[in-house]
Amino acid sequence: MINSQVRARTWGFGRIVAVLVALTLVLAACGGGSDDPEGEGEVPEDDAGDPVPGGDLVYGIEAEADGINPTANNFAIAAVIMGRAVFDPLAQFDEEGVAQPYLAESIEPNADCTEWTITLRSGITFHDGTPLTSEAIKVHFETILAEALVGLVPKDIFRFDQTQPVSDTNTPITIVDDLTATVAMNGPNCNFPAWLTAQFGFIGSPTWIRAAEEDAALNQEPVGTGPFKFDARQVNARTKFVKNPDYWQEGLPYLDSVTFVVSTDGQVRAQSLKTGDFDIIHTTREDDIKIFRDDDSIKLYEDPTEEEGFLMFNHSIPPFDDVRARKAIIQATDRQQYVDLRSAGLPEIPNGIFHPDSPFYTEIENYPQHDPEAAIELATDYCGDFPENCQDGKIKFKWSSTPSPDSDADFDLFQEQWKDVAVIEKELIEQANYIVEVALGQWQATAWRQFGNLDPDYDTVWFDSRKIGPISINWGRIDNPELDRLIDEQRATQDFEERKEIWHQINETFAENGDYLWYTHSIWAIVAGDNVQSVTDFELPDGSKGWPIAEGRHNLAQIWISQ
Amino acid sequence: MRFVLRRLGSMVVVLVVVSFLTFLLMNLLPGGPEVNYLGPLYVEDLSLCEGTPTGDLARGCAETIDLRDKLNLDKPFFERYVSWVGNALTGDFGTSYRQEGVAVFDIINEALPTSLWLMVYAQVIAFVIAIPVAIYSAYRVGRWFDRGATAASFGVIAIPPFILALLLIYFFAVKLGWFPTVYDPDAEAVERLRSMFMPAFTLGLGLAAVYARLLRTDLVATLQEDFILMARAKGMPTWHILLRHALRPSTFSLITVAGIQIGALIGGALVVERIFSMPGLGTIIVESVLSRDYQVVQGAILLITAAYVAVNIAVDLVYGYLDPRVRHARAAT
Repeated sequence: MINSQVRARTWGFGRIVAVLVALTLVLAACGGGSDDPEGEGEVPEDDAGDPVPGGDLVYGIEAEADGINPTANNFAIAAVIMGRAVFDPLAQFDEEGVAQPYLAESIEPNADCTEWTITLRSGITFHDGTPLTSEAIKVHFETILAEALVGLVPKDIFRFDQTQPVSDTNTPITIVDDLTATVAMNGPNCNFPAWLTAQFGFIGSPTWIRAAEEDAALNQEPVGTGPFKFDARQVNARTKFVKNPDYWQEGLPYLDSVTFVVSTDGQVRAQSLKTGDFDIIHTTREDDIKIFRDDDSIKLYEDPTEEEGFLMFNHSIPPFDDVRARKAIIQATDRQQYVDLRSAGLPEIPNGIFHPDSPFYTEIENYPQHDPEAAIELATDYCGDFPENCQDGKIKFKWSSTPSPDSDADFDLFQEQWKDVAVIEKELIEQANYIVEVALGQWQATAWRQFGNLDPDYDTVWFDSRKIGPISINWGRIDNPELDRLIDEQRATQDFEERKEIWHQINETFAENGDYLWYTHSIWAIVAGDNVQSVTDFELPDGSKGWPIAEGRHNLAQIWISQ
Repeated sequence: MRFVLRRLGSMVVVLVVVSFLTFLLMNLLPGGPEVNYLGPLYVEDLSLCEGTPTGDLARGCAETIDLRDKLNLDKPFFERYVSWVGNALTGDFGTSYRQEGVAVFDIINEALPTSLWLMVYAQVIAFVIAIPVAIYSAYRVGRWFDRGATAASFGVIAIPPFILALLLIYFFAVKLGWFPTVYDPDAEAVERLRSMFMPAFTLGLGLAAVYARLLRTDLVATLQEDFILMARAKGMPTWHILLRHALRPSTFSLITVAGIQIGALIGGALVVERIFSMPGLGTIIVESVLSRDYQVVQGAILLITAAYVAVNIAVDLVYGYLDPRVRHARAAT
């Protein structure tokens, strides 16, 4: 779960009272009370009283988005967090990590999960006055499916003829009535609602989406049903949203406005929070997170379940088409040393794609651990069979990466760790071309960050052998029918425990075949001034608790600022 | 007049050369705007599309060919360059690849005032610091103040702007709380000036060190001149001699360098604007280079070049005002 800490701001009256209270608690503890006097590991409790409407929140974000149109732009973290202001997703995760209807009234499958019926809430209008109807769902999904890059990942879960353009006769969406539409799946898919919790569930006004198709400049001026309306945007600088007074959730939002300011330098972003220029920021910088953990003046919300950092092997070409070569590298790697030296010792060392805080987490006991002797044995064995892929009895390969000080440091560290089993050569690929080269498979091993979705179904595309082709988003070209079967199985069941067990098998299969060299679970941290309340404490429309932070994003409507 | 026309003529040549080199360099960079649009679907090597490609490759081929046609990237280099120049002459710099549909002119127009204000602000700060320091150093040459100012100048010149920015943020924003760390373009005029102080000071301090060194040296030389000796002999007050008699003839090099330093200011702005979240040309250029948004880079570089050359022409014109000998020499030619 979320590991958070809340501390008082200054040595004022409040802190003196807090010290007195703490002393009292210590005395109470001596009498056999609490065993957690510092509150470590607890979700922050906002004790500032009832929410107060008003206030302007300034949010420091790490990067800019090309645009804020979920049907046209790639939603990395910046667009997702801004999207949360202006759009409502069709579904949101509850506190158990299960996707529940949000903008939708209900999302129901047929008996074999090959078709889903989405019924929208009534009486909701977009910020431009367009009523929310099933037409919006149709326009939303069809526009995404017609868009090459945005539709690349989701298109395969929908049933339609991909060789033909999306049209009224070639569409997976059928309008049933004003508020209801059905979505046809390309096979049983019982976890479709999880896909609707972020970009693919952010429903924009169909009037606006159609206009943006004609005039792409409108991608910068989003129109949704969300708690905040678009006000102004200067790309690479700041984007402002103001309160939507007609928001469908009564009483929300509390804030008058939210302004997102791009601050690319993590250190400056952190200092701007300290100076009060930002009310809230996000960061993945472990050094900053370490400092924030000891900072009395802020609230720190950590989500350690994010993307995995790993070395990706190209399974389609030597030497990593052979499991011995992959495992030799994995077992030669001292991952604890990597985390200590390169990540401030903070992240957990993974044996699979789930962090212990993930609902899907299970112990993966067969992951090859650091064992230099075994690594040498594997490398020697491999080189005996394939001397052409080796040099001086060691596996020879190229490490592909973008040019950066971080990748240089990684390379130097691993070169040292692998010196008894491998001879590696650095191959630099410009950032702009990196993803293209990786998709085309012109590499042997490369550092990568991926996975980490709260519901892992979305992550299956990265190792589904049916995605392999000359262009492959199964980047590592992992061709394993057993994994494909498990992908389909987990998708075809709604039983969480069954899915969890299947994902356990998937992780064990990765481990058995040495498919990935996992280094770290990344940590996303949301850091706020102590006057910013209810940062992650939000409720679903039925009053149940929502999941605090998923993939670095959190709800904004419930946030308020105390005096 | 002939001098001005000659300089304007050279300005055109410079603009053509710079625009061509910018166009060429952007085209030589690995990766193109296609990657931004298509990501892994971009097929750089179209020979892969021969035959009957299937699956994502088929889609990638179709999308790549369509996009290259739409963006005119399938045309030969020179044809594209000539077309771009022709459009630029009419004020049409095209539309951004990254912010699809947004005119480059609008992007630059929105960012330009911020950068201009930053540069003017930085120059003002530089002069305000440099001139008194240089005057007093020259007046007390070789004394403790002069030696201290010299050491401080070298120290400041040696610090890169991004380090200086972080140091200033730490002391003036975090520790003292005097200035904000983030520029606020929506604030009232006074508050906006305050929020621009740190970036302007970051740029201006480095300039001030250069200016102070330069002006001090010229002032020391000027103070050795006979007319200064004459003024002293007449019993004029020291401040009067320094400000009215020595300063003006000593600013020749300063003005020249101030014009040239516009280039350094632009270079510094690339870093400083991003650190302080300023939506100026520097930020735009960096982001556009990273995302291979050629159109925006070309438009911005062309504008900066024009401004740079124009400022230096203005500097040349100011020489005539500062030194009658220059004015008379030009009139003679």
